[in-house]
Amino acid sequence: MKLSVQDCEGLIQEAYLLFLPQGSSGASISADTRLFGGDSILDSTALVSLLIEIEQQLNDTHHVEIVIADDRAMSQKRSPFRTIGSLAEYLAVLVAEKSEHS
Amino acid sequence: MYDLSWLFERFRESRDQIFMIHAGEHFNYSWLLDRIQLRTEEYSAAGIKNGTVAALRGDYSPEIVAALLSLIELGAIIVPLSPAVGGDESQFMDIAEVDAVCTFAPGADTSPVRRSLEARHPLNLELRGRGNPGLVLFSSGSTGKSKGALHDFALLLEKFKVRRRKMITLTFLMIDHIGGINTLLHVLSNTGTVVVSKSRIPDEVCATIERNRVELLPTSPTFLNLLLVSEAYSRYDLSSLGLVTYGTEMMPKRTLDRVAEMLPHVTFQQTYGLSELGILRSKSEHSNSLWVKVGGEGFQTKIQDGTLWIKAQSAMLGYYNAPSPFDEDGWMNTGDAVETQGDYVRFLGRATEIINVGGLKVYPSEVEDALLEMTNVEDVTVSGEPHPITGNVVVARFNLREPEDFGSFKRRVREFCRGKLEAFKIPARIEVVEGDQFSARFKKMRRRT
Repeated sequence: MKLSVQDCEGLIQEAYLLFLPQGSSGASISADTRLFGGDSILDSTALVSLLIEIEQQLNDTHHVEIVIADDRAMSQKRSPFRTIGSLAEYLAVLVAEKSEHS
Repeated sequence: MYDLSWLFERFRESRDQIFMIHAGEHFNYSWLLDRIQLRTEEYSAAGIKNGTVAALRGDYSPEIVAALLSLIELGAIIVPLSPAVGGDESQFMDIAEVDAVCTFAPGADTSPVRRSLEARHPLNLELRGRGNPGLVLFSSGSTGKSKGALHDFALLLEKFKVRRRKMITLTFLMIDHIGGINTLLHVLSNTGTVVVSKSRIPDEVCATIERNRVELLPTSPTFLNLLLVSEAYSRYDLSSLGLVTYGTEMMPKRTLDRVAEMLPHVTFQQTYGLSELGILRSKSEHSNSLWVKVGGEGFQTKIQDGTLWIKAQSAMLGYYNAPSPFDEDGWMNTGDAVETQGDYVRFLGRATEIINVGGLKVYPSEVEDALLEMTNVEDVTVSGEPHPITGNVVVARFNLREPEDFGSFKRRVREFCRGKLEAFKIPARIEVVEGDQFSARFKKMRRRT
């Protein structure tokens, strides 16, 4: 099982839409959209929920079981949770590693 | 012999009264008196005496009640074990040092079986020294490891000497639960009638209420929730029912409001007690209110750091298998978080079940209350799960009435929660589960086993 960074980005964007406050449009979502901090519209609990939602989606549709937020993610030099793009890259690595090990 | 003459005198005055309706058969107080005498003779002959630890296995029946009273009279230390105990039975018997096992099941031999175990535990020795009968209650496994609490039965019996209203009462809470024992002693001491339901499923309970004109139903919020979901109340005549008491766990406001609406002639009363302390007297502000006054003679209460503390005359001697929960002045931290308004308290949940999300407190019952308002939700339990970002996250596990697409259900939950719950209280993990999320005692299980 391998997912490209683009695949991961698509998956994250789709999940991200679920956490937008009502009335806000998803038109401007891109790889540069901030997930947390700065001008992000997600608070910490929404970010955590988003990560859990992505884990569930990966498990349900691609049958990959990964944990996104763990000590490793938290100890990265640059947080993978900055933007949709940075999370997509991190996710693609996690999925690839998972398939190597299984 | 421990003196129960005050109780037996009341039985004699009401000898033709029905004390129990069981499997369609009626048993009067005269039968009970005769039976107690027979059992006392049998048990004495078998060597059961003051300080003997005796297990009483079985569900409610006329025979088990007679045996219970005989064992009290003999000054034995009684360990009731209802079918809800399941696989923990032999472990419980070892903890309490049970020597005699009395089994009351259909077709079973009722004569006591000796395990030839000598009581050595300091608590058992202390109680034997007092010459009083004992009662052993095990805390439910739903809150972790079961703890065995030894009570001086004489202290528990004291409050029943005051006469109160006699009522036809359905025994819902189990005989090895402080609430069940309290109900039973309440009915017997006022020479009322105990009605035993064949099972605890809503239709069976409602049919039993209708058939026997039951007036009092002591139950749990989980059961009342099932009553609503099953709509069993609409299929039976429940007009005899005047009082429903609920305790043992948090009552969802929605459940209380709806059940009070469906049964407008019934008074709903919250009860409060602990296996370590006994049952306090309580008074709900009104039927629809979760505000309640707790206390009564023999109980002192105080609130410390938002948690209820109690000092009780009828407190247990101690746990067999855990350190004493009392401070040097005899106060016990109940672990129940409360808010107060004048003399009234409102229970918020177990302090240990509070979920700390990024330093903010989430009470599972508050989130459950909100989520129960959703359409197609039959039941939900909320608990915490560790998470590296916010410390913990809120997890909600749902039982649905009808199957629903998981993706659209999750979307629905999140939309529903927005504006109703603060962001940190909104479940981060949403699951749909099959199967009941309550125990054999009709109590919600938030901890996964």
